[in-house]
Amino acid sequence: MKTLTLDPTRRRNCEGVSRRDALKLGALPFFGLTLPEYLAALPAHAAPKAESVILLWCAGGPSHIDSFDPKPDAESGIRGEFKAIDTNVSGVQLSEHLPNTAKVMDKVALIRSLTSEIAAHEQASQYLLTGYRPLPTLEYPSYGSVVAREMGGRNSLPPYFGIPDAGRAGQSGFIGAAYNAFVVPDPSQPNYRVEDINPPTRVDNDRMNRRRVFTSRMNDRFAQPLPDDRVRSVDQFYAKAFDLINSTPAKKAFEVSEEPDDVRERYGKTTMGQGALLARRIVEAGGRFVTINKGGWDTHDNIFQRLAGSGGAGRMGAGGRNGGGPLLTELDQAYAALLTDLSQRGLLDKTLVVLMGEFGRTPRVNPRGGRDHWARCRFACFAGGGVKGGQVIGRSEKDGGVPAERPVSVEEVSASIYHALGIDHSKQYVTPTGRPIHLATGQPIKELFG
Amino acid sequence: MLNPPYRWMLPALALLAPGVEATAAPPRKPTVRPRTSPVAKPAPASIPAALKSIRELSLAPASALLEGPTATQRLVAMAILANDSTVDATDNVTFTVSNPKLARVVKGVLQPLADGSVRVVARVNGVASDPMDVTIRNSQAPVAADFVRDVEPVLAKAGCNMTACHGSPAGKGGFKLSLFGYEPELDHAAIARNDDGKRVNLKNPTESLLLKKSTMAVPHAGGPRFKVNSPEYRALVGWIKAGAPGLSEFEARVQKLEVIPDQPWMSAPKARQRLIVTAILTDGTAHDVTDKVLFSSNDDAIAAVDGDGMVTANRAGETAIMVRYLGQVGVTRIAVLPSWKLDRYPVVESRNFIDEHVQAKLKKLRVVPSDVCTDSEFIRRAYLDVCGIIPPSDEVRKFVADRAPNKREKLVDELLARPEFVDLWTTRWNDTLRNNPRLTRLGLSSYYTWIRKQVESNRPYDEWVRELITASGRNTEREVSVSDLPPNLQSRRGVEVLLRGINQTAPNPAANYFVISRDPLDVTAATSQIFLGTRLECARCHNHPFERWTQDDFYGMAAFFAGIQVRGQNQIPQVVAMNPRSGSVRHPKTNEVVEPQTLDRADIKLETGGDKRVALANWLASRDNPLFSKAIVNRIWGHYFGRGIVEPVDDMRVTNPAANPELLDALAKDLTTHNFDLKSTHRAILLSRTYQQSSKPNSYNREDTSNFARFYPKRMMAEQLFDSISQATGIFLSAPGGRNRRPALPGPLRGILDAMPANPQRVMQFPFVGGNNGRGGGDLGVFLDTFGKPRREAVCECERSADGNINQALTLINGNEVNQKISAPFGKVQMLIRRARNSQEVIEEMYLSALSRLPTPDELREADGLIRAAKTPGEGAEDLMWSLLNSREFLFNH
Repeated sequence: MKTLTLDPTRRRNCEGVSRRDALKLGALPFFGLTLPEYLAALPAHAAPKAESVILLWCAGGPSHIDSFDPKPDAESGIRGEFKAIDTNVSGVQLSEHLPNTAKVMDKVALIRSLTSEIAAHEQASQYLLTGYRPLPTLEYPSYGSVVAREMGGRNSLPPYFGIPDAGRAGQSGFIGAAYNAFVVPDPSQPNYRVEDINPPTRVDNDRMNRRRVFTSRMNDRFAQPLPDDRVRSVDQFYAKAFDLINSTPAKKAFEVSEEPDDVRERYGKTTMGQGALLARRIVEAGGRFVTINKGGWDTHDNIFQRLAGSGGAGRMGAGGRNGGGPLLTELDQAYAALLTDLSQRGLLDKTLVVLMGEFGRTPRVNPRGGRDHWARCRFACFAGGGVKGGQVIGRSEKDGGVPAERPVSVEEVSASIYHALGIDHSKQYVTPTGRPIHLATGQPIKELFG
Repeated sequence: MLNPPYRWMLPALALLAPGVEATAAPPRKPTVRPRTSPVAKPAPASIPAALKSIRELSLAPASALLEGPTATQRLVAMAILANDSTVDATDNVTFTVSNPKLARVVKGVLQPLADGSVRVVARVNGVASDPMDVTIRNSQAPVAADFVRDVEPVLAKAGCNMTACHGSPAGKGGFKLSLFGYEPELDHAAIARNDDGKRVNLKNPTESLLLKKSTMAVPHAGGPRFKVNSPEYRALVGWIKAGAPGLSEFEARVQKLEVIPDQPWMSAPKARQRLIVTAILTDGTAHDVTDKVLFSSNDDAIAAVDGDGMVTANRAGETAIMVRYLGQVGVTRIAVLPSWKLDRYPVVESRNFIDEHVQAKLKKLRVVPSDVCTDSEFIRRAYLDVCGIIPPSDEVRKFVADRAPNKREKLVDELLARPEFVDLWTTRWNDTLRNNPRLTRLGLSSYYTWIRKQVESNRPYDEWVRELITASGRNTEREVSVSDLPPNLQSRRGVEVLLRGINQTAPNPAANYFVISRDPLDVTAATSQIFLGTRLECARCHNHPFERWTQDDFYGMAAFFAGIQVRGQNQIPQVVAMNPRSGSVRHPKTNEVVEPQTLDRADIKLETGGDKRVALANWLASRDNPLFSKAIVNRIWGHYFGRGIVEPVDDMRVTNPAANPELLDALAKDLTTHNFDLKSTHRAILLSRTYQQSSKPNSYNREDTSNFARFYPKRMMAEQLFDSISQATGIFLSAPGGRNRRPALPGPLRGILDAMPANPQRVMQFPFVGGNNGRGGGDLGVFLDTFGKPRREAVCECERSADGNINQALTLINGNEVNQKISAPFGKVQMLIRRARNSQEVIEEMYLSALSRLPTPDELREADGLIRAAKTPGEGAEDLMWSLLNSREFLFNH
């Protein structure tokens, strides 16, 4: 008779039975449950589809009421200046300044009840980009770094990218600098070029080869008597670097200028727009996790002008970069173009697109015409990578202050990202102190993968 | 990886399945009389050759008490051989019990048969041990149900107390267990008492909710855990039938664990060694608990341990074996000697107390330290470690040519007196104390200046630490004006009133310590890690699994900081005040207000209404607090050797023992003798032979990774690397021909420039450089970030990374730092080409500049070939310097 072996040394999910154990049971009745019934009792584990992730990160904290969670019926001090418009999903409205996004909402699962208590830039970013509440004594790895470690690079490309960086908290933390993001500058800038993947023009192939040969002879001499791994390990990074330097197809991924003008226009000639376009090219070429980090959303004053007005957002945001044009317009164009483009190329199923920011902003408009930090309730958008679009998950109270239905935690967001990629989120890493931690402590958001 | 934390419970679990495994419980009325006779039987057939030279036999423990029907005592017989080495001879000896009616020895385990007293002697090869006195009591009492023995293993094995289930800090579904069963008292309460005892049904045990949930007889979000009538099920039923008792009297009294033998030396790979674990109870009696504890090795590659406490040596080296039982931990260090023999240990020069302790240890381990490094190696190493930069080539020439016998001592004293030393340690302390932009530009520059002053004046360490952790006041040195604020706050209503309030408070930049972590719990975690080298953070949420620190300890420490108030707003300078009456810290379990208590439960006096931090500071930064002085000397040692005597340097705990405790003690004592003059520690280390050893191993120390038998190569710190590229190429930050760069900082941080010299040459002089993580630091920031400069978010020394990655390689291969500096017309490389008389001069100067040594004849020839292969001598020189800067020899401090 087949029995369930409870092997205490094997990692097991909270349900007590690893999938392999469950499968071993075959169709035999199991404590009165058949296998299908038993599996139905597990949370949804639809086969993961995503092979890569594009994260559109709104540094500074985007206002949810003025974008993805409009409150047209609230009093004007809460409602703000923007109207709500219908989308291609019936019953779902967005801010009038997201007209392009409104046409692709059938691809998007919109969460309106993401909640946490951390409303300071640094800590909130760390929390939402790692899935862990920040500690003074330990730095957790960001999603991109974990994905880099779990999935590795493809086609001579590094796995993890940041455009123009991976965000304040998009770091590798305790798992080591080898998993930090490869930084690609803002492709919307006229002088855009990826640093350091090409030798200076005056160094031709022959010269570079002579240098390599000479150096490797030096290295052999130096390292030969030394037993130290840390001396030897440098070689593998040099080998990877030369791999990239010598791979024309990999480097081509960075050439946004090869895209037709109309495509570039559709995405918008902005950080977010060209960043999203570049992200698509990187993902197509084999990249695993691309963060586009766009600041300027820390709109303590003059919010409506900065989100949608003409004449520029003006101030530097918490993300450290000048916003350029109106923030919502930039986001709307980039996001809608990215989803449409991925979909047309048949990439959307394999690419999880996540749009979120540090936190939301206060329901009430302040006397300076701005909104301040608000973490208790905000939005996040998931699309592609097997996510079921055209749905809204959770609901906020009528003033947008707190979740009214189905509060979603940061921990669930992190588990969902790993789940979409087929990474076992209950896997453990061991911190430098020997403490085992799970990749994510929450469960994947069932509705996303339903 | 760790052992599954519940492994210690597995032997106990075997009790559940009778007959599965021989267990500790002896038959109460033995049907067969043991045949052991008082006369020694002939020794087992095979006595290992080594035992033929046995000189002495010692039997452990010295005495034993067998209390109760399930008590047993494991025995270990250690043979001391003619060459002074010891081996575990337990399997080879014959045990004799003075009265075989009362006890017997089965496979090295002493089992009770009846109450009384006996003596046990071990014999082998004609050598007998001293007799061991054994008292047997209550051996005929019935076996009682036992929560720890019967229930906890089931909860652990079925996964009930995992993090994802009821072991999570908040529990699950209203039922909370301690993580992995570390706290049986709480678990017993949760199961048998809480919620009106609804989980157990004493009248009808099989109707207990605990059982119905775990067998899914009623819905259970966690699914079925085991079947009805499984061994797990029957264990729980048996325990409930017996009235669901809590901790036995014995378990409740366990106070401490001891491992026998302490610090055994294992003679060679493959050798085996038994360990015995003894629980000391509150009444001082000792009881064998070997079969109940969890064993784990800190390094399996050196010595592995199985569930019964049998250690197997794998390769030469040292590690520690950790044991855990009922929330207590114990540890023993294990040294595995290499297979070679050293008939005559070479004479090695000892220059100071550091060498004495290091070499004493190495000698015992049969490891021979490397030779002393060359002058070239020494000057490069000392420059990098003391000044954070490689030496200029002319200094190397001068030093190598110097004939003075004390030239290394002279150099060390010169370097320790230089401003670059201050830059380096100011940077290090700014990292550790997390001086980051959250403090605002004025806060950051004020804190920087304060820290710099302490380093520059070499102020006694205890003094400035006391000042730091008791600081109150405005966190900026100068008064704050509206123009200091970020533009969007300048026009805010009421801002002037706010600033007036801030400016009325006396300045004290040290108060930034509390602005960066304003919560008493955060400050506690930070303070213990920084100044006591002790990580208490775990004990914030649960009792520390590898340490004796408990939540009581954590919250006792936190209570000293209760009442800390940080007033002010984000992006505006702040004021720190202590109001002892206004705040309190509550224990998360009992929700009761916790009274301040030091980690060693010292008797301390608190003034009513006074600043409690003063009492803490006096205890913490005292010469009588061994943690304080050990933590700092270990941190400094770690800087020089790339690893601490305790490693990680800020993780000192019982279960992570020092590689050389005598050395650590001696350094700590030396520091207190010098009244916390940190430079005295730096100097002692730098002048030791140990620091001056070559990094090249000999055939007797290749395997050494922790006893400092040679210098372990370290990758340069980010700042060292940046500044050393400048030094090698002659292009400094503000030098002619260089790019006159100030750190690129986002607007709100420009005030940091207040704290900076007018023409910084080196990046180590900068109070702060933002990385590429959204703060903007320009290409300088990106470079440093790429090479692991810490972001000053964590107090952990590990935040500074020495790991490699692809970006680092790309930066050095194609990046501006190298390529622009080697081709700059006024840089060293191009100047040399224009001025040198011949290519040998060019090559020699480049080797001296980048590697602090002359090329070998082979290298000279190859380098000449490299230069000649290029289109122009200028390009050839560039190629050579590029190669030198991209070599491992340059990248590492060796």
